[in-house]
Amino acid sequence: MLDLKVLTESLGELEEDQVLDMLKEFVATNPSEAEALEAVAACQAGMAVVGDLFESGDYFVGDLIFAGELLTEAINTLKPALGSGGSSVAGTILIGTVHGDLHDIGKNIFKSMSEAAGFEVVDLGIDVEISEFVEKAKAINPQVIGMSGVLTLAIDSMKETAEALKAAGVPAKIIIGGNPVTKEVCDSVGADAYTTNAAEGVKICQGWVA
Amino acid sequence: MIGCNVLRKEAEALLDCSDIECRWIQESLHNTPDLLHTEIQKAIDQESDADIIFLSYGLCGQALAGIEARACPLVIPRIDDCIAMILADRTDLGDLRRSSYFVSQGWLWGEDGIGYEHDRIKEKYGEKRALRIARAMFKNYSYLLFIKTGVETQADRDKCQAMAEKLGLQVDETTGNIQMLADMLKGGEDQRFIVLKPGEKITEDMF
Repeated sequence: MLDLKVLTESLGELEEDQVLDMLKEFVATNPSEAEALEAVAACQAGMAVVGDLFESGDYFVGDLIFAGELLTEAINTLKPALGSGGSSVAGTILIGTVHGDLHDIGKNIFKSMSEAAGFEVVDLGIDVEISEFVEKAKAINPQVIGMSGVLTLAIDSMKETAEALKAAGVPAKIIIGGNPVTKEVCDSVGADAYTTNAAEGVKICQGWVA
Repeated sequence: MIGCNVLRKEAEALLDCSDIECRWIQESLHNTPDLLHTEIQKAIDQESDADIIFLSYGLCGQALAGIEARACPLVIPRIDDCIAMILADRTDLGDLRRSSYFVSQGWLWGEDGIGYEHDRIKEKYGEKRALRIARAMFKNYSYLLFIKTGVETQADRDKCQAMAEKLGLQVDETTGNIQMLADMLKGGEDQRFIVLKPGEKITEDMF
């Protein structure tokens, strides 16, 4: 029997071997989809623990990167038991690092945390052209579009992308993230929100889709 | 001059016989712009006797936005970051930023050059996990671009090479210089520099 509390704690403590061993054993018992979804929720709760430990200064950026990888591995391990029905989706977020920039550590952390919070995340990757954002947004109609960047030049790219999205009539809320974003940058880009903190970004998105 | 340790060695070679007083600020504050901002403003506030203060910084992730000239004028290059200073001669800098992680001797942080966070993870979880995380952090780069400024040593080159091997990246080389810093210290009156009078603040749109 899978101890969900121990699973959450182990993921929160980034005990990779323990998390994956527990999940492999669990999957070998042919659990029902409902049971597998409970295990997913326990992993997501572990990710929230990681976020809290980062907030409190116990974890640093390397721990967040590793936690994201561990969560992906955990969900992949559970996949055979999950079937195709899946859980309900909190909302859809389209994300990408804007053109001219290839920094994506913060974006990837935000992606892991959003997925852990039940969002479906479509990630366009790095150095994303304006037209790619617009076309994908029109195709999947996300509630939120997240633009990320670290270089100063990313601010101009965010602005151009936001303008193009608005010109194309895309109704999604826009959030921007990365070291150079501030209240002033947010206003000049024409975004609805900004953050330099992935966990805070997820909370903002949750507020929008509630 | 108040400057970042990243260019300290280059700047000290330049300022060999100069009467400019220098104050150096920890390079790792690059990762925490709020703290860098606080440290730079504190350093400016403490220099009440200076006639003019030169900042060897760029906008640096917005860290410099809001910095205020107090008792004397402030001069700062109109650049995004130190890479834009040492590679000012490269017209293809935008493209380079899409492919290369820049390594001048001052950027080889920590035991392996990979950074202080890498050392912390290595200490806490061991080398294997640390390398996995480091490779995830560097995965979008194709090259470590080693920038020769004339003050590097063979040990710096070796460290860069070892870093590239650990990360699975190729090393490329280019030359850089701090001519822009030298020009600023001669007066900094052309368009490449921002001059603030006492009481004025740096804003993002100046860059």
